[in-house]
Amino acid sequence: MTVATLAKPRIQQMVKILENILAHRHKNPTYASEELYYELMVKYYRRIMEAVEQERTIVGHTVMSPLEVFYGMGIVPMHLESTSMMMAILLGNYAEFFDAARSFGLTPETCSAHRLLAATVIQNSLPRPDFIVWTNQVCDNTSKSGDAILDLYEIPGIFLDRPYRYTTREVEYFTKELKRLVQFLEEQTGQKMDYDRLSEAVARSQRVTELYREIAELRRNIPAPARNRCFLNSMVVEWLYAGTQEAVEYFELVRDEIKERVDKGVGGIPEERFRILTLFLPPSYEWKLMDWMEQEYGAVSVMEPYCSWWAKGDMDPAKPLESIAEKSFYRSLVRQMHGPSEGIIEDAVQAAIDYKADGSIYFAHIGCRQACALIRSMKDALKDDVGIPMIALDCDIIDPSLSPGEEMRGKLEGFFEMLEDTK
Amino acid sequence: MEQSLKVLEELKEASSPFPQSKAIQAWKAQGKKVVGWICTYIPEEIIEAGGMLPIRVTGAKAEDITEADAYLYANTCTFARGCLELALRKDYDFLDGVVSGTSCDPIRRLFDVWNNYLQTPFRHIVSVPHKITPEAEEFFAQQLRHLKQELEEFFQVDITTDKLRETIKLYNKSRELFRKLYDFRKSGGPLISGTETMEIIQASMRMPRAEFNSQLERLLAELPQRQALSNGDRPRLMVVGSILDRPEFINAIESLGAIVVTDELCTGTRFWWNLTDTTLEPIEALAKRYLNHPPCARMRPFSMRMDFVMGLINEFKVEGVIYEIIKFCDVYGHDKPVMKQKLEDAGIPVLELDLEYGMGGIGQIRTRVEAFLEMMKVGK
Ligand code: SF4
Ligand code: SF4
Repeated sequence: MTVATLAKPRIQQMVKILENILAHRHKNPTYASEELYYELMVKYYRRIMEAVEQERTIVGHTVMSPLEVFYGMGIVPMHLESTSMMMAILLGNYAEFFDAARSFGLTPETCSAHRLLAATVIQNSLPRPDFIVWTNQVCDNTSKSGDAILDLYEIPGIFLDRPYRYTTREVEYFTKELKRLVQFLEEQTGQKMDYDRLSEAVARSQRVTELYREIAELRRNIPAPARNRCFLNSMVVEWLYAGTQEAVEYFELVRDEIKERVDKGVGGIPEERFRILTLFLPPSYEWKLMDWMEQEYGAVSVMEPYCSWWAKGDMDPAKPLESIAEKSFYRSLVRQMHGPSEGIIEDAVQAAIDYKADGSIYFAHIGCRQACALIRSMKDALKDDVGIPMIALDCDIIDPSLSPGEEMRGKLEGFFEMLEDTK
Repeated sequence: MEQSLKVLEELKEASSPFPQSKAIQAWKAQGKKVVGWICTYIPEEIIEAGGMLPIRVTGAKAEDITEADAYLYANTCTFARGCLELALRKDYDFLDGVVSGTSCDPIRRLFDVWNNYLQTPFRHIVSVPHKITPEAEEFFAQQLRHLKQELEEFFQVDITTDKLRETIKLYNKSRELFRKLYDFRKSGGPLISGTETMEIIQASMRMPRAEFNSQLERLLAELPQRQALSNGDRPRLMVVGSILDRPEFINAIESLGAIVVTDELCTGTRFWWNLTDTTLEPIEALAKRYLNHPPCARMRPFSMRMDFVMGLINEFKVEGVIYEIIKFCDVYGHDKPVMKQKLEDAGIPVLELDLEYGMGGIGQIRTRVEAFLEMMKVGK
């Protein structure tokens, strides 16, 4: 494996910064799960750094790729969008990356997550994977990014085609795609899939799904027992660690912390004033916005129908590939982003009722066609069926120049005041 | 100035006004149904075999988008918003059904919004695979069987194997005629312009196919008598990219002295290029034909699209490529940098144009094309 010039120092730098954040967290402890989150981030990127240093096989993959299969094969996964995004956040070099994407020729309208990914590849900042696995989950950008990466890195890759509806036929088709994936990985690595290890990974994924649901159940309580950061951290942990013991331990810890607060009758924040349904994702450069909402307005995110909601469905370790395929149709983010709109709209309406939401915030990320396209449908459904208002907050998922935090805070202030008046 | 073609004038007459052309009005007057399709991955043959008239849903003539912006966010491509705009203005109220595909994010969300807010009696979306494998063909055939069944149940019709075979022949006939039409553009002295070709193809999408075929046959018979549109002195261009159905756009290019000799558009070659195999079971044959037609940028791998474009360049002796992208069109936007590089490496100059579908901006296009043609002249 050729190690690209910038990749090694940059990943080392990322690990160093994450270690410093973790040390700071240890010195100033908050919730144990928040510390564990940073421990897991350090561990994840350190493993990639070591794989680069030791020239071990790395599989680059896009969001929602079947991690269980990679862990089952014993190869090191590198989440492409998360890694490039984390790099930009930690090293603070957004401008450099967006410039590189522009010079490469990507239109400025392209989702910034994928402009960033392309930039880190063009610049050789991202550790060069041995091959990539990419899918159409959860958008056109994800499905198109792979083409350029293959071309730029001149590496092999496999695209997984996940169909649209959750029916037996579509699950069968996607299972066949996963069988092709196993064959591809075996060819690339010269190793055989360890099906026992795969089944174990599936069992752990099932455990995480159950924990997600258990947590969702606990979160119905008033006051809301989870802090806003919790859903964001949980989402990232699941993206990077699905199928591992680390994920199980993290979600058990989150469950225990939330349960303890429920048992004591206390909330995640001292004074809860507004119960908010969060739709889609806050900008990655401005997760602090979620802290600010809590501190300044007592606004807690009670449920996130896009990011935290798992519909019905279970995994069976005896049928690992079928189970992983099926999970792609009921799991969070994919069901909502890559299926008919009825799914996400019904989920959001139900969540607004079950979680007694006062209002809803829709993060309108300018680069995301499919999430934004449902803003009006969602707003009408929440208003007509539940009677709650929704604010669409224009932003960009990564690019801070488009919608500075200050601007978003200003708009939210008006929204919370309106909620206050209608109480 | 080229001599006008009598048959083309008749075709334009029958297929206008937009969107409910005279031909569609006449069809409806007989009490027959019309079903709109949104993407070239939807086999028109299945609709036609059910006795319905398949017509293409587009957003042409939705110059200013006002109503659709309230329902589809402003970051959705203007093609999807243009389609919705017309539907919200009730211009598509004459449709008895609409069939879409999961082609790209804007298109599947357009269908969601259409489904949530509009009352078109029959609404269906087909899951279209993103790759071509035996499993994908089989899966797509299942999807098409499902579409057939839904159409049969809703419209109370029988889409028989014989009917399907008949319509497959009818549509194959069009494709053979389109090929002949394109053949007239291959020589140094093309007999038909890019603008006219686009007008002809547009007409096929809004009138009964049998009638269109006989008109096109007449036009093809008329063509050899025509004077060549170039003595080999007009730069030979090809247009590639997002959906483009405005002959005025091609005309703006051609009026500057170039001639558009071919295209890689879903309103051009990608619409008609390959035939359906008449020896196979009809639905299986349609699944194969539609999935394997020259790929939209949504399909993987990218190399298929690249190979098709290179093939066209050689076959039609293309000297320059215009790569147009509708703003917010992710799939064509992603392909552009790599394709541009590969074309330039092969010595083919590329002009990139970012457009708003159906909107003005012709003046700006002219200036850019003019500069491009100048550059091509210098580079010769
Ligand atoms: S933000 Fe939207 S467009 Fe961007 S990667 Fe995520 S789902 Fe895709
Ligand atoms: S122009 Fe692009 S984004 Fe719009 S419908 Fe066509 S392929 Fe999809």
